[in-house]
Amino acid sequence: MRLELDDLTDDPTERAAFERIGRALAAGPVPVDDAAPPADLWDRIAARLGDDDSGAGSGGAPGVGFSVTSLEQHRAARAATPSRPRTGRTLLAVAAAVLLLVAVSAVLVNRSTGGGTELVASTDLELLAGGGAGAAELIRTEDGVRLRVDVSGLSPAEAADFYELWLLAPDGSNPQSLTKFDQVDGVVEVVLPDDLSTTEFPVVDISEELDDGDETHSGKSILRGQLA
Amino acid sequence: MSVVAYATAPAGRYLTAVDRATAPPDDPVAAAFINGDESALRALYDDNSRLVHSYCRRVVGADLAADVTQEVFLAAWRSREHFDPTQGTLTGWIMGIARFKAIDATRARARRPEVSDEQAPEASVDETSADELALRMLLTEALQHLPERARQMVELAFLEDLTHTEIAERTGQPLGTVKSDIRRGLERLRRNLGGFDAARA
Repeated sequence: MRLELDDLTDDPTERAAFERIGRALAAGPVPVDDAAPPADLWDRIAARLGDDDSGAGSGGAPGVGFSVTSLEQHRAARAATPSRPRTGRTLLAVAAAVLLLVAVSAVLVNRSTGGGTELVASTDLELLAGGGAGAAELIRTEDGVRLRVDVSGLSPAEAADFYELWLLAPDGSNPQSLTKFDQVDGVVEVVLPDDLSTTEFPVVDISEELDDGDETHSGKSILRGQLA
Repeated sequence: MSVVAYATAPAGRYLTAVDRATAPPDDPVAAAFINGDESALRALYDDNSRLVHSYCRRVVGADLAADVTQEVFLAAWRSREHFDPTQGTLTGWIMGIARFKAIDATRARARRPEVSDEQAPEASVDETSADELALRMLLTEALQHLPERARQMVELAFLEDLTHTEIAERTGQPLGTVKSDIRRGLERLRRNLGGFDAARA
């Protein structure tokens, strides 16, 4: 096992973690077996949720998504005791109603994934301003065509409130907004509407935006690449 | 999984997905879970129960697997305030708890002399192997949630033991792309490691 890690990191802690992951993977995959848990197992768990529970208690109705209150409260708690560095800007001023939309949408999509997928096109995203790296993939799934953008270390060139994912025409014109986000690392994934053609709009663009009520593209692109 | 962002489009038109296996610290399900929202526990169960149950079957046997799986999710719920999304993923944390619960169950079984051969696990493993198995199953699962190209690169590097140069030749991708994809994949997998190591017995 060669574990070629020298070019991937200079940080000894990170290297140790990568090496541990590499050795575990090299030992061979261990997939989940076919035997599903008993059908009543969740009911058994749910029946005991109140036992010895000295925690915060339930903040929402079971099985129906997430309450605005619980997310707001958590946001407030996180804002009071920030536990990870942001971009140094003001990324994060979002209405509770939007949070609810995201939470519910997230669950819906997550539960609908699975089955076959087909990689239709992909691109690395070129850094135009600010900082960060990324790659985009166009994936056909059972529930439609998804644009999946993997970003890392995003930072704006100027003061910004959030990032926004767009599809543009080949000449960079006519931006089509897909979603706003504030994560500096992770994957942003959207299901493209049927009437949005990636042939007509093949350019993936991530911009930095201000929460100033102007819904048009700021003209400040951080990452960009053309799907092929 | 992973993501998420703030969708501004009308509900149902653009959907933003979360991949819990590689979710970032702002995963709204993790936020709701910590805050005591039972529907978030259900989402967590839906996403991870097959993985946890499958692991438990291998360590403690089919007869105890459901009971131990139940204890894993109850333990996660009761200690939810100790979960820190900045340290790692919920899936990693859950599998970290599963490791301890499965080992506890194995020890308890060993202390019971009345256990008959029929009740013995189909395949028992020692504690070191149980620990390694949990990590391998966690990473096997998390690997499936990486972006397609990054997953392919990581598999070629660590499962097929190819060099970066060999991967570039095999895939036709530039060497720099191969390295950045592998690094990005390892970074995402590392968040599972963080959750796994953060779990306590």
